[in-house]
Amino acid sequence: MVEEILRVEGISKSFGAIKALSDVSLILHKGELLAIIGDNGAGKSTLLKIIAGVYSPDSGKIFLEKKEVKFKSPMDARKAGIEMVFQDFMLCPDLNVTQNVFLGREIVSGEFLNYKLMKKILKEKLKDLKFDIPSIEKKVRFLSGGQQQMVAILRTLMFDPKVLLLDEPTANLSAGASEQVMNFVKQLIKTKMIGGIYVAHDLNAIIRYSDRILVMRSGRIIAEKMPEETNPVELVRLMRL
Amino acid sequence: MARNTFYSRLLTTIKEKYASIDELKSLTGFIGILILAAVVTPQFYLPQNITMLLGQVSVIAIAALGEAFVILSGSIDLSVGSIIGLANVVAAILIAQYNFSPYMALFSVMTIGGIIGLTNGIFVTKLRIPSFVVTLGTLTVVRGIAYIISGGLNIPVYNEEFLRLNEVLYGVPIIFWIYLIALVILTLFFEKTRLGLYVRATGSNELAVRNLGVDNSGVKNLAFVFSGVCSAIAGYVLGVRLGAGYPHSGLGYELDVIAAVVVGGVALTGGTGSLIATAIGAFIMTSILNIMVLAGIGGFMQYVVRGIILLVAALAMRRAGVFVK
Repeated sequence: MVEEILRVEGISKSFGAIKALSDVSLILHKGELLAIIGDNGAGKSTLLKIIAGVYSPDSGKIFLEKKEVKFKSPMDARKAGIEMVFQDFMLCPDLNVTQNVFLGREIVSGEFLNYKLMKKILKEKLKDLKFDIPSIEKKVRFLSGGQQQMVAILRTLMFDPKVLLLDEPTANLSAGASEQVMNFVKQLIKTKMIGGIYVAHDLNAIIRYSDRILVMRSGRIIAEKMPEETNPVELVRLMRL
Repeated sequence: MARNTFYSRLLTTIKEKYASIDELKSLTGFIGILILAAVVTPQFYLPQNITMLLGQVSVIAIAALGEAFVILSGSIDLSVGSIIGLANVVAAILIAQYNFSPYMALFSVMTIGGIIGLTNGIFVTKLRIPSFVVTLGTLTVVRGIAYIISGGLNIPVYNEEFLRLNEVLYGVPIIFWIYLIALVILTLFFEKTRLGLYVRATGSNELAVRNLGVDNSGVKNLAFVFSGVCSAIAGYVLGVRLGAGYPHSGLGYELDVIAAVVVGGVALTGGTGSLIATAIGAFIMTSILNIMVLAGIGGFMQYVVRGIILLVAALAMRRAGVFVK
């Protein structure tokens, strides 16, 4: 049995009168890519943002490697090893690749940024991951959409994360770039034995890439499916029942 | 054919390099102005004129350093002209009426400028009011305070130590040396430290910076404090040049300061630009003014020309994609 890496227990969250999540629980295993699907407003992104420390839950617990964790900010979650990839990349277009990758976790010598060391580490990581970026000195605004999302993913991988949260990572990408990004993520999760949670609307991609699928509706998880045992028609039916 | 491909690649590489170095665009413009000066008004290059130009540029350039921080972080500070006026008046009062040493007076006005900057920052980050509106308010309040504490009167300063700062050292006005020191320190901070990087990052994509756990409100507050402090130093330096405190000094300077920053290539949308480019922008704006005076162009026409230069710079930035996010 593969070891669990993340466990969410009874998470609830309301925004004013709107109940976004009601008693949500899930388990994520090492080397597993878990997909969460649901219509708009089902609570998928809220759940990811709670795990990533962007929102605090009203109630419920999060366990990382069987130890309870409480995040007051995204930085707390990042320090614990939970990284998130966003639909709109969340990069700074006017900074170069190196600056974006290390943003929030820069390496300093005394008071000054040590770009030399950051570049060296980044080059080694690129080699290790067989990553293709035109230049680490290039401003991100000059990269294609696919390359920008790869930089965003690269940023999450620099500090050996335990859990990778992917919030519609390919929504703004072409078909070719989407395939490249997802193949890379899938392979990475398997080889590095990290856990991945993947939220997307493309049901064919969900079935193709994920190891397990959770269906959410009105802030609750209402079904669990294995990709080889389901199809888009059934998933749509479950989402809209 | 192969040769054509080689040249087209070379051209693309040069274009990319040119676009990626923030200072090059404004430097090209400045070189153009220097050539224009050589043709239209050769007296521009007389040593006395250069020394005077360096003195003139100091006030706007010091304030532009702080304004650049604010604009790079994605906000704007319209209160710089009023802070210049208040600092000018306060420094004069402290030295002339309270016998403060020039250095204590400088420290005092820097503190006042920092507090005004922090107030701007808190209104923007905590109360979530757009910086344009907040600093439009402080522009009026601070100018009013300058008039109230001076009683609307000019305050002459006869302190020799203070007036000595208007002298020339190694052919360069001492106030320009003050600017150079500020430029070096702030450039080091901006280019080499974490906080400097966060200023640019916040202006480039504030939401991303926040999601990565960086305290973007703190970064914005810091930028406003820098702007307040720099404007206060600029007001002090203006006092040195004028030998007095004038409550209406610095009136309208916010536009010259913002123009220097924008002409230097800093995008009003934040994130793009540098302090060196801002320095070039300040030189461009002051040199144009100087050339127009030397060429005998009247004051009214000077407004028109400076406005056109700003529009041309904005157009150049639009073409370079600086305004496109």
